[in-house]
Amino acid sequence: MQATFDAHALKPFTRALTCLSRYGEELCIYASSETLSLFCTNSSKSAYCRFKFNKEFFSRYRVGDPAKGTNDSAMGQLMAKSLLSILKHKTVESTLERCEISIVEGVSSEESTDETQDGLESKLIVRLHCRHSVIKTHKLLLLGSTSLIAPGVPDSSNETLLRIGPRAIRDIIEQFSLPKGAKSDPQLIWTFAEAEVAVRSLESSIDTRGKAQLATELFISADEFDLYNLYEAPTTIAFHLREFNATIAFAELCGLGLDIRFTDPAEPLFIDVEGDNFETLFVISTSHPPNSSAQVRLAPSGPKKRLREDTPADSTRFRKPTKVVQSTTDLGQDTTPARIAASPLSMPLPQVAPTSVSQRSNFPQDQDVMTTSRLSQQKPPLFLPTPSQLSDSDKAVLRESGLGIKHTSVEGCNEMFETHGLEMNCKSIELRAAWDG
Amino acid sequence: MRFRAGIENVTTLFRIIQSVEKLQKKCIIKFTEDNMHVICNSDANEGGIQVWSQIKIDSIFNSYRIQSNSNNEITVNLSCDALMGALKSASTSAGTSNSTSGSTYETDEVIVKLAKKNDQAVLNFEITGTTRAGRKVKIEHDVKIEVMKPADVAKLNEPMCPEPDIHVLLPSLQKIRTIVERLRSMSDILAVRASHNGCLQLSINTESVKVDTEWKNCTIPQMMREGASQDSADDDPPDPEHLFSVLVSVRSFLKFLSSHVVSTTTIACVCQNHCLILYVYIGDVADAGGVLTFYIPAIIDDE
Repeated sequence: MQATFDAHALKPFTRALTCLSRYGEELCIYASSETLSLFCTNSSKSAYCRFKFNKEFFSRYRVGDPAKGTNDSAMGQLMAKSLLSILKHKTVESTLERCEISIVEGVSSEESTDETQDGLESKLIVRLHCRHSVIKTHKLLLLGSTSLIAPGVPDSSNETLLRIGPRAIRDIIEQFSLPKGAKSDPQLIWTFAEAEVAVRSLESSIDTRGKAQLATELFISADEFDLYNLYEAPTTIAFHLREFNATIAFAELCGLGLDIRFTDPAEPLFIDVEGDNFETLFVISTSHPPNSSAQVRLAPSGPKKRLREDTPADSTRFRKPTKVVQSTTDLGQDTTPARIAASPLSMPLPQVAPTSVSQRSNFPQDQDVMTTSRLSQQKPPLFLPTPSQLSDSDKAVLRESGLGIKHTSVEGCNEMFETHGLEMNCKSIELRAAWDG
Repeated sequence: MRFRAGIENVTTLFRIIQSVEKLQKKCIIKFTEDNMHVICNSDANEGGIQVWSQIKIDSIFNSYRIQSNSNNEITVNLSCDALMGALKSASTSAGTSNSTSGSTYETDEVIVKLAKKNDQAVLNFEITGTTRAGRKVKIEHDVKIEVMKPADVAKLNEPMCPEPDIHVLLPSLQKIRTIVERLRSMSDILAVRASHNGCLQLSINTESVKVDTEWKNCTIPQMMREGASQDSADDDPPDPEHLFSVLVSVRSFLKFLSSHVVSTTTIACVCQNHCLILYVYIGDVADAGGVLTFYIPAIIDDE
């Protein structure tokens, strides 16, 4: 892949990278024949950010090598800060004439005839053509990403759409005196009524003992929003601000408005910002606010931290953040979320939600979508019988039906479920199959 | 116990709290019928610095109403950070585009009152303002407070100090701050010296370095001594060259200098080998709108 952009496009590109680096550490690049996408998620997978640049954004854009007939897409993963520090360097802004970014896929040693293609690693090469014929070349190692991730497309039947300018929304958030610092992760609770919006803080100005000293609530007219299509009034949602602030900063620098869409509380929030030859999508997870009354409280409740991957495993006390992304094999379109899929057989991955086994009669389709690999790191499901608990008669039934205990597939189990009516047992077997497999 | 007031001058109040915030996380505010006192007297303070201030109610509030069983006085303990957070959103940015200096809403009115939310005593701030687009916006802040018992209030006493040896009008605190910030990395102890001929010296003296900064032609205001006899023949006029000095902790002096945001005039009083008292006037000295008094105890250097 090769893309070139001029000095004029450097600013939005760098701003995009700054915003991405505030969302997450690892950045994925995906180049298709029409667009170049940069995306990342935060460590708890509760926020996702994607910038899609059309090929018109670039002065030159080429993907794949027609001579070699290679596939028409390129992909890789790298640290956002590495790329950002190259482009944000103080001399770059004033002297850059054009910038060439290329992805060179790693090739095996037998095929390589060219010195530039050394080794099996893919590289991202950034070549800055500056004034006075100075050319600076940076080579960054590209890791192959283990799984592509994309957010689910929301069900738009009960969607609320709001449009607001970045300044107006920043004015609102500025009224809240929130703790700053890497460890803090403040939340705001938004209540959207017919003609008024109320925003309140969950905690702020934490003192040394972690108790809130200041509680703030703001009431503003819904007219501040350029577009205010509320599905149902009143709706209350809560979400963390760290990533939201990065989005607002980006929109403000580029002078672009934000299109905010959300459905139910606890469904993720989607923000679209569209610019010149690029569009961006931000997805932030939301939660049910802990206190549904509009009263401002200064109760001595400790701060609710979002789970980061490095928090200790006594995660049962915290409400797990909704994951907003799921694994997918095709980045061409955003995957449909579990809820919309008509039949379980059409889903690309087995969906397992251990805690909801007893409640749903059909295949559990839950919001916490995860890949099977991540599943193995979860705490064990609550209703899974261990082999020793499976009674002998149960085991005999299984063997008779021709199903092994270990290798049941999702589809096979479901068929059995329908034909044999072995409800509870079937589910538990199927679960274990996914667990072990 | 009732308290309700409209805040006329949010910026001044904000700057006062900003000055003391650097000293202590929590401060004590005492509201009386005529004055508001801001007190920081924690023992844990750097170098033992204390702040006792008295501000006339009229210079900050309008429509002030207070009523309590202890002589219509209410004393509360609260977090400076939280109070500043509430005041920051109340102060208009006054034309500057600097986002840190107040909100971008035009403030119409700020009302503060004592309230109770969920069994917790709070100072409730109700701010009505106008957005950029001209629409109304309402913001409410609740600052958690601890109302002090009359017994504890009675224990609050300003430190005892002898009659100062000399008073001197300090040059711009901003300029002094620049210099003392440089000195901070070189020494822990700062010597403050003044003489009756208008000379002010700030110096440090360590094993490796000696730095002296001198200001000449400072004003030496003649303060009326309480109960002093009018007969000046009793005391000899002090030697104009003699420097009265006191040693203080550099860090506490710097903490005092953070009040540069609010000061118009500052008078330093040197009590030789005892303490340094600094009167920071808010607004015009003649108006006596308010004074922030800093007490910095002296460091006794036996050398």
